[in-house]
Amino acid sequence: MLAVDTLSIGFLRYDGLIHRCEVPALDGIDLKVDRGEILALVGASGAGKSLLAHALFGILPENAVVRGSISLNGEPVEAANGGKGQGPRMALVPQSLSHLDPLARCGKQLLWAAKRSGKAKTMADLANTLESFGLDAEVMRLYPHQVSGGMARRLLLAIATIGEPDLIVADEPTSGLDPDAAENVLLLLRRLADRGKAVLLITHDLVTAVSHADRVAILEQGRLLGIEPANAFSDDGRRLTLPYARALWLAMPGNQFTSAPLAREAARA
Amino acid sequence: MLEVRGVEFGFGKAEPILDRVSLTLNRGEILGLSGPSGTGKSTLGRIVAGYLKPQQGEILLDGAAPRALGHCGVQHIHQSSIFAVNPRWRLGRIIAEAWQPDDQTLDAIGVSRTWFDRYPHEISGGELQRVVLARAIGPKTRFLVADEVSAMLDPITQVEIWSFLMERCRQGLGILAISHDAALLKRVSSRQLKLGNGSLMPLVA
Repeated sequence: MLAVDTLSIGFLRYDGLIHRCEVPALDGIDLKVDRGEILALVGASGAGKSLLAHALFGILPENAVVRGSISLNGEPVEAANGGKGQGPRMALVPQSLSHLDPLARCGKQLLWAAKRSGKAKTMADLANTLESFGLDAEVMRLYPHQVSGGMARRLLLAIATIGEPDLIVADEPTSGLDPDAAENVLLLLRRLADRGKAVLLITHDLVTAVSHADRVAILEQGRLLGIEPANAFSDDGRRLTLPYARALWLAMPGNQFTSAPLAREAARA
Repeated sequence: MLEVRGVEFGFGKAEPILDRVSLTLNRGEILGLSGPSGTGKSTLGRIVAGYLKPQQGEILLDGAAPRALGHCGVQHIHQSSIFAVNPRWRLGRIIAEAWQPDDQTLDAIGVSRTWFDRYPHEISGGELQRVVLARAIGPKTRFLVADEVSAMLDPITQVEIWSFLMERCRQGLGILAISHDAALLKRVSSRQLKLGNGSLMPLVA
């Protein structure tokens, strides 16, 4: 399905007036997401999680330098293609609710998404889609500021999935939601994966990642440390192979709530 | 001691979201505040720190109204720190706004000096959260309202920040910790309240 092969991203910065230097941000990332699975990408803020998502959709800033390759179903995805998306084959659920158009009714935005994907949809189809995300058909007439954060999040999911893409990339889909609303969003992603889609779930929240993903990829300071099976995050984390993954797990408030001072160094070693 | 007495607050003509809410926060205590989205936790936090004026009731810091001008003894950490900084100032200027944090504080919170010549949008959200915390934690701060202060941080950084805050509590700082994370509040707080339908209820662990 999705294959990322030795992907590196750097940013060009002016070092003085004329000379430019490259500041590395992501370094040699290799990962695969298969049909029917949720791969969670976990890492501290600033580790480069969202950069990877932006690279997939070709929406990196202009001064980004991209190396390596990304392919979907064996076909290359142009990393820096100036914003030309992959149409219906992959879709992004953006991190910020500000990606909804504040001046257009929710139903209109869903209709635009259906048109972009080139699939003919009737108003009844749209209502059915909304209903499958637990949203009333009433929502179609409302503007984004009139729905709650949790509803807006589900609307973004509906917009992303109405074109039936093969890959869904969800960037922090639960941020700002209370536990019940977050659980609902994650169950929706799980259902999409169970129906044969591939889901890349980007989050800084380990609890979220562990409870709903199949595998957890750990990103630190732009490097992919490794991928752990989600069920290895249990008890005292004995089954985790990466010291940093174990340190993250033990630092959870529900576990030992400790930070081994060497955890960070272990991650870099 | 920080007292909230009979605070009422509502937005516009809607039903008040806080209905005669009272609480007491002692020095050296971490009081956890939880409740579903939209019940008014952050609003209560903003009232306690003096950013919003209650329609009824009062806030008392050691028996008197907190200072309206100059350094307020009750400091507030906003859940989206980008809204709490001047976007046209560099971080070095922002962090020294209230006091000049010493090296020990900066290291404990994990603030890098290399950020000082950058603007707020040039560091990550989790990094900015630490800058804002360092700014608020000066020697004149008696109480801290921490609104989802570690929700944007990875678990290890979260432990580091809370270890630092718990140490400051042992030295006499009082903290009102607002969070959705029940496991976190259970870890750090000595007492918990839950906000729902406009009023506070003690949460028994």
